[in-house]
Amino acid sequence: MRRITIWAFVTSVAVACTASAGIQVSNAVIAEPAGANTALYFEIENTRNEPDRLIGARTEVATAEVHRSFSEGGQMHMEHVASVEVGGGEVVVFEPGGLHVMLFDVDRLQPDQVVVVLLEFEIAGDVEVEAAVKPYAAIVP
Amino acid sequence: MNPFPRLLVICTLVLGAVLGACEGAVIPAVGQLEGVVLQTPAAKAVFTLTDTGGRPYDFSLETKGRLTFLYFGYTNCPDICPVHLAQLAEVFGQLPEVRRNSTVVFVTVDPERDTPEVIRSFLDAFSSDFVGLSGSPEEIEAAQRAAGVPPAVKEGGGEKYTIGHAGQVLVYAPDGLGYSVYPFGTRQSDWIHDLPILLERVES
Repeated sequence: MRRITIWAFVTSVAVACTASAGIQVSNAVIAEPAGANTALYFEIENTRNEPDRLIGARTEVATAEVHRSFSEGGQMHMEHVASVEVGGGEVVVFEPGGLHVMLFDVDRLQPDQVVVVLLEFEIAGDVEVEAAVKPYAAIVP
Repeated sequence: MNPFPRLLVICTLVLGAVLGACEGAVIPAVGQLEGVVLQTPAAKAVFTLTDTGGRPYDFSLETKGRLTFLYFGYTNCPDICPVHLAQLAEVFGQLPEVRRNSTVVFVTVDPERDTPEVIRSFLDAFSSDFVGLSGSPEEIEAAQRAAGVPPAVKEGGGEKYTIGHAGQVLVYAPDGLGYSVYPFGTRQSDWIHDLPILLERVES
């Protein structure tokens, strides 16, 4: 029983936060898809002194690309971004209406399902992130 | 453009605003809204498109007397469109009186990929009551102009093209006037605050 409790604790910490070579990714969530595509959101903290860059993402459930939504000329637009710099000691937030990892042709996902995503960094390499599937309404209160 | 029709429009809008101000004495003032309040209330957009069942849908007629939500978006949009729809569905769950008297209309700006079946399945993820409309590119552009939003533009190439489009939800009170719009970033608490106020604005 005790072993199970410890295992559950370790797992929950792993879901909440993934660290690799100075890159910590937390609060990773995937919006429960309503159409063919959806988005992954998270926060990246770079605990080292030098900058690193997010250059891509991979997951088995979809084709992933780093995107940015922005407002211009009275309209909302979305574009692919080649890389996102995370300065030394800085935090970059991926959130609705801004930076996100777009998931194309995503598999059917259930709420609370946990999806493994590899975030590719220039220096830190692949950082494995476990993202929980949540309804949009739970992500944007 | 001939200046006289424009003058007429301005006079009508001013008259409308004055009358609106008089009404404000007996019903909650729209100045207290959390949404972006329009300087002059907007008349409900007039257009006819086709619903997901293949029937013609005369927007102003079908939504007459209802608290009406109009949004131009596309189902491949992962980050803006679903958020608005999810928030409305969530808020309706908390405001049954508002839900009973509301109609949510989603107009695709991507008729190429958004077939009626695709739109229906997308909207059903939020509410099977949400109305989905499509039409020819020209009809959809005319609907956006009628609603006073800049027509959507296709951006990028290939299959994964995106579309720049108006990010705000347009809301018309049951009296047929739009007092406020709701840009991306609107919170559920903003909707919960504003919708009961707007529902009170009925034709006298």
